[in-house]
Amino acid sequence: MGNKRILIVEDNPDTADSLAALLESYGHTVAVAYTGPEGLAAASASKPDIAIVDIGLPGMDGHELARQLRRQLNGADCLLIAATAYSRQEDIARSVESGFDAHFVKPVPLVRFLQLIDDS
Amino acid sequence: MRLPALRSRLLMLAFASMVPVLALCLLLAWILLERETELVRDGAMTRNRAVASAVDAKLDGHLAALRALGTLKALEQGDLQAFKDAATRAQAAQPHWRNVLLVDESGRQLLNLRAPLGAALPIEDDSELPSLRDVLATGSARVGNVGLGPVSGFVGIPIQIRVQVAGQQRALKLIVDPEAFAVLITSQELPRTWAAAIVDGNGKFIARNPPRPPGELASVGLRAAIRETRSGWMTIRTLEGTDSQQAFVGSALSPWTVAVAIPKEEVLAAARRAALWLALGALVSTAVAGGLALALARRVARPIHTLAQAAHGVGSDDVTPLLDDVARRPGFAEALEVNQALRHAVQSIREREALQERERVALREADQAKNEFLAMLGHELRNPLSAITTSAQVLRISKPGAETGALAHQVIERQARQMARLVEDLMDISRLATGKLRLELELLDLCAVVDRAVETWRHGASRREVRVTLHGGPTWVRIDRSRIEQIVVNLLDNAAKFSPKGGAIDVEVRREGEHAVLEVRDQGQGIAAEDLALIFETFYQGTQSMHRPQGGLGLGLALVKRLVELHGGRVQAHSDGEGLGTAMTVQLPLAVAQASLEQACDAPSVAQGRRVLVVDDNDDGRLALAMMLQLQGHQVEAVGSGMAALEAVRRQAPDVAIIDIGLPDIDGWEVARRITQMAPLPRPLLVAITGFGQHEDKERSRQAGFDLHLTKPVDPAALADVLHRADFERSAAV
Repeated sequence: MGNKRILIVEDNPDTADSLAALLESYGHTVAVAYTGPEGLAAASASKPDIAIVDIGLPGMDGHELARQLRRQLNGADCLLIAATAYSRQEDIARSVESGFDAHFVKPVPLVRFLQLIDDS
Repeated sequence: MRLPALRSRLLMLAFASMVPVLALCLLLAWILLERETELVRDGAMTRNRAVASAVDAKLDGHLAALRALGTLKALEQGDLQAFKDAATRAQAAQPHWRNVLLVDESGRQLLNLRAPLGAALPIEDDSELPSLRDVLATGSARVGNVGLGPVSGFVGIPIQIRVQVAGQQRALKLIVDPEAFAVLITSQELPRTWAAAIVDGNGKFIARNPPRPPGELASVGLRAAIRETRSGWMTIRTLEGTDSQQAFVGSALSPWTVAVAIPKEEVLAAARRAALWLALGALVSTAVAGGLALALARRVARPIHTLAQAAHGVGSDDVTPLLDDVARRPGFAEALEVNQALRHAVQSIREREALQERERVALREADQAKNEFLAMLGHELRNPLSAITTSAQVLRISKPGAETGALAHQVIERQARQMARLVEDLMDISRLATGKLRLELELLDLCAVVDRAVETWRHGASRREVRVTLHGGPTWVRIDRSRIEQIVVNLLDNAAKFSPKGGAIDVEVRREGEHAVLEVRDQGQGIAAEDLALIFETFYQGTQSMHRPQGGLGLGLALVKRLVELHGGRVQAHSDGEGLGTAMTVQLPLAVAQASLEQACDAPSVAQGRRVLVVDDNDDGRLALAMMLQLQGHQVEAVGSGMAALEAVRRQAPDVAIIDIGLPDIDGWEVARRITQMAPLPRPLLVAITGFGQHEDKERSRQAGFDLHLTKPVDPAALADVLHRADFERSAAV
């Protein structure tokens, strides 16, 4: 059981909340934000170890959010994970460009996902 | 076989047409030649005749003088001395007289002016004897040929007459110098190349120009000719060796001939000149004809060549310049025709190519659109799928009865529903695209329909924390209830997606002119102006829509647009800009007589009961409906047959008659028909109820006189609504 500070930025509440419930049940501390700007604010408040970010977000897309998070965290150790329905090669490339450490295509393969979180 | 070129054809034609002309020229030249020769001949003959006359006149003069001498008395008396004196005197007066002789019948000279009387005189040459004897025998004068005087040794011409000398017949003979006649030739001033001559009976010259000594033999040809005939026209060679045409005419008084020889060259010169001109003319004509043929060939061949080039290029090259070139200088009318035809061909090929290109593009676009759609579909299904798998995992690890489990359960249900709706929308889009989606139009209050849709949405589809408020009053439109609900749900989904947590969404139904307007406003982030027009497109926006930060298929809004358009309305998005919220406005055509309905709407709503007749042969159905209506405060009578229904109407005059179509005696339509024919009772509002909602059934109901057609199971709320507005509904519907 880990105890990581995890921020979920996801506009679909069901997706966000169920993922939060799952992670919490594994012992993590989870904060949820439903829009890009909310995510940015939550990140500065909770200083997460891991941020799981959807790409198609209202207000500010995941790429922009990742860039801003990188700037805001100022080199602080934070694992940025993109979790999105965008599945094409160029989408993954773009995520890496924006500063994401990993790119998961929905539905997220939970075992690998949890493994990655535990290993971080 | 190689066909001859147009040029050779035309040249052949030109030369062939020149052949008769050339033949005619030849004939003309021949005629000219003949005519010219004739003219020269006639001229020469005339001239010769004149000279011959002059010769005769001269001879006549000498003869007259000789005769005068012959009549002298001295001669008659034989006084030769006296005669000789007289003759000597006469000779002195005549410059060309050489001698005068007196000759007896034997040819012996009796007197010779050149010899003294009594001297021995020569005897005439034997050749002279025939003419001497002839003169003596006939007494006629005789002009002789050139000869040498035996005494004088001069060349002379003898002229003899018969005289009486002392009773004896003698010949008096005058010798004339040929020089006397030379003047007749020289005075003519003939061209130097010509030869003119006076020739005696022996063919010897008396006079000639160019000069020849008298007595010299004339040319062989002339001599032969004058032996044959007295006058004529012939070809000879002159003494000078010139080939000539000779004209000759005989003298009347003498055996002499006057001749003129004209060099052949000169005779033919005029004709030659004329022939030359003709030949030249023919040559020029031929050349001109040939030239024209070549020019025409070029004129014809050039456009044909260009057109051929153009025809080769049609479909691959731009042949317009070639065609323009031909149009500028077509050369002949048919070229223009071909030109025009080629232009048409080019035009139609272009059109066909453009059409094919359009089809290719459309196919490509459709294919691309399909691919995009599939990609987006995958994308869109991933989101609910993600929530479901996560929740399933949560369910698996959560303790039974725990709150997280209940939450996960709800999420799975909701997201599964969401997916189902997505698939449903997808099917609708497909039906719309193929034109298979049909609306079941009913006269309904848009406000009521929207209200119900908002309720459905609030309780089901989403759990977003937004506040939805509905504004507006009854607005009657002919709509498909389920489709309008679909529209509202989709618009709300969209608005909620862009709204902040706890944001307000306002839904308004209102009238605007001839339209009913449904507006859904949110206070979300708004839409950039350039995206406003695009958000209703399905997947035609390609990758752009993929990267819309909001994600989502856009399928919902596309569906809204198609459904609204199917209702004869239109949908628009409006936003004052990003961050300022969005308003989605749906315009639908108002139902007729909206005005009266509206009036009623504004009147205070009365919950007063109506007299309602329920006609249904199904006991349970009839009872349930009657009970429900009674509970709502209406006066209800329920009957089970058509005839009973008619009786009830006649007796009670209800406000509303709710009639099942499938009745045992007469069907519901027949009941409606009979009720509408009942005068003068105010007829009730007629509401049909059937298990079938087919368009044809509704149409049949309308024709039978029904005001409304409801499909089983009857929605109590809708029925209540109908009864509530029974009065004005009737006025609106009829």
